[in-house]
Amino acid sequence: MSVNIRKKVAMSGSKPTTRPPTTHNCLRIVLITAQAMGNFAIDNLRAEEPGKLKFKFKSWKVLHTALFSFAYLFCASFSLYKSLTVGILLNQLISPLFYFHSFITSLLFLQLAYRWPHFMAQWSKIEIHLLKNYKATTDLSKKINYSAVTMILVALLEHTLAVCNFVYSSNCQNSSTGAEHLFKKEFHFIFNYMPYHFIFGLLLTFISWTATFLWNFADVFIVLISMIMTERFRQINQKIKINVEEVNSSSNDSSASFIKVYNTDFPKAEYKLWRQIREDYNNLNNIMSHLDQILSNLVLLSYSFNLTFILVQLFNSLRQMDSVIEGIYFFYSFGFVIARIVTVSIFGALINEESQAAMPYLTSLPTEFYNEEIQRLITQIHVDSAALTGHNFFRITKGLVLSVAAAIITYELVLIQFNQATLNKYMTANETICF
Amino acid sequence: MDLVYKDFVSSFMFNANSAVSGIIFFKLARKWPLLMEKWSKVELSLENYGNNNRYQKRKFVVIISVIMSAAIVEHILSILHVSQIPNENSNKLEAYFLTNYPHLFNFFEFSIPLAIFATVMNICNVFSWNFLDAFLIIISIALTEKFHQVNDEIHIQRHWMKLREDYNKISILCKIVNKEIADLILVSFATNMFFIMSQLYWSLNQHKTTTIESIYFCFSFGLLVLRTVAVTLYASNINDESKKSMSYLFSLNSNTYNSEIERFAYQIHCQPVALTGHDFFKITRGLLFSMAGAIVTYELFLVQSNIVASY
Repeated sequence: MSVNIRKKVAMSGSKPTTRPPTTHNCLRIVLITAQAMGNFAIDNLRAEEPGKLKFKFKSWKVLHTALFSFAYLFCASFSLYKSLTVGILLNQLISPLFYFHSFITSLLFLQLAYRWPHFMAQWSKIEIHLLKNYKATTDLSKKINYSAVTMILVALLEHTLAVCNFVYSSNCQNSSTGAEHLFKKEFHFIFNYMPYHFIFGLLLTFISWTATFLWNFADVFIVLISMIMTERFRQINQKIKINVEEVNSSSNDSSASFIKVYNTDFPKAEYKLWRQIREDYNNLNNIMSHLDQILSNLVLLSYSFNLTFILVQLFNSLRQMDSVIEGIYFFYSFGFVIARIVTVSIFGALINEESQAAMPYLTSLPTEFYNEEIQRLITQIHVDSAALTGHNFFRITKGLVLSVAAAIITYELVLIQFNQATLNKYMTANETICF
Repeated sequence: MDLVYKDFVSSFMFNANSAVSGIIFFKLARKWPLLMEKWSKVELSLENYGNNNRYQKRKFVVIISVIMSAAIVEHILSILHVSQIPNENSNKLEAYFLTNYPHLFNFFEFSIPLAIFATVMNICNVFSWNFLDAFLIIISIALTEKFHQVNDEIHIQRHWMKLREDYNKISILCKIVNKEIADLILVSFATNMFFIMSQLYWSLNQHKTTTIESIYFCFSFGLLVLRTVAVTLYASNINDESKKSMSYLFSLNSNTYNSEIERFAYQIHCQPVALTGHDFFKITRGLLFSMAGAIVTYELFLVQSNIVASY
């Protein structure tokens, strides 16, 4: 006991040690930022051990999240009501979709926060074991922070352009000046029905910026978790590769391979090593399916809303563009949503790719080193490869990008066919539709 | 959308295709010696096999000559086609260059050196467009031949361990080659699909007047479709050939069956060998129908959105 106290005193003056790149530590900064935007309502995010994470329904953070969710629902219902009274032109649906997406995302993240401590408790045990025995291949924490910052910045730029578009567009004119003019134009769906107040306008601006952050945070979160899981699979694959290359280089006299008699006992086979590798791979696979269960809702939400946005924007592209800024905003936002769906697909597909990447090495093992553990590992990689699915509706692989493109084109055709009246309204360019 | 727009889009894609594939070929050329070293190591272990693919070189020569001669014929036809479009300009030569290369002569004055430059560039573009497809076909034939050798050898000689290891080496070689030429496959398929769709779309809008115009369109479109189908079929042969031995392995006598054969059969099943374009799609025979379906869908969409936009 006294030794411990002496150790603590001796170490208190030393530099703080860097934390190991586990999921909990790598995602810490990102999750704390999300909490500031009223999102991931978990206590003890700054703690060293993930075992200390806790989720309580009766906490300030949950109240924070609930307030934000209510605000998004408020904005969403008002904009939906306005677009219904004008008559649904697909252009009007962008605002309601945006706020509904943020609302549902905040609810889903509440559900994720409820399940997160349990998942982290299971995962951190396996992860610590992996980090001890398998070497890291990249600097994971730096990679995650840079990717998160880049994606959020791109998203914020898109929202800036959207605000400029709303403010400088020629529709929805009102007779006020200065800040009132700006607020009334941007939040026309609210100030049409409620009295104007400066604080109210400021609050709404703040809500719209946090809604932008949240809108993208679902995709950013999926991408970051995919990066972490890919790295773990890559670590195991690297160890398999090193072992196989060692074996192959040590048994390099190919002339002897003809003379070897096939025998059933394998004196050189390293059962213990391969058993360890197989068990680690198996644990990683199991954690992936647990993770898939938690993330399924988010994956489904992300794909369906991105798809809907692309369909609506594609339909809007058939309209005449009035001003330059409208054109710029349209192209940037369209390209941005396409880039998002492609990014989520590619990073999610990397998990599947990496989980199967060890096969060529395993099959190149010569006969005398082959054993039952390796056969079991090959079978598992082949039959049960890990992938993110959306509640088992589809698996995120690279081929999904092409399927999504085909689906977009097909649904777009249907939209064009059933919306001839709307299109006729669009084609007469002097309509005063306030969106 | 009138003729000028069509010309600009087509010539842009044409030149972009040559530029991008030129860059990719340059990168591939840097890695080529290493790739050939790995390839020849694999061939070294196959050299004692009976079927020694003596006719491979002849096949390559035939393929290249067929594709290039078709390309020359199509190029001549296109020159004839453009030169017979009625034009007010008195100088025939100048008229030809102004119509055929609007992307140059809309910005610069006509002059003989520029015309020579445009012709040379055009020939280079045509060559690289066809060479890309020919190169893919040749690589596919070479890889298929390796699998063919192993498949033939299984019937003659029954040295299971060496056969399995050779099959494995060829599989790994396919994976390495696939990684190197992944960009080429993507560029080839994307360009072919784009040109098929745009040719089909423009031909639906225009009415062919003279015989030479219809001959040119039929020949050029037919050549395009034939090339795409040829690349897909030859590349899917790799996938087919790698699976051929599976049924033979399973129908062996129980006295001969051992765990080496089991491992071999399991490997053929677990590790399907195919060319993929950066893992976006796998080139198998079924890909032809998927491509046809995709072309029809995108074509419908283009036609519909054009009807909408022309209100």
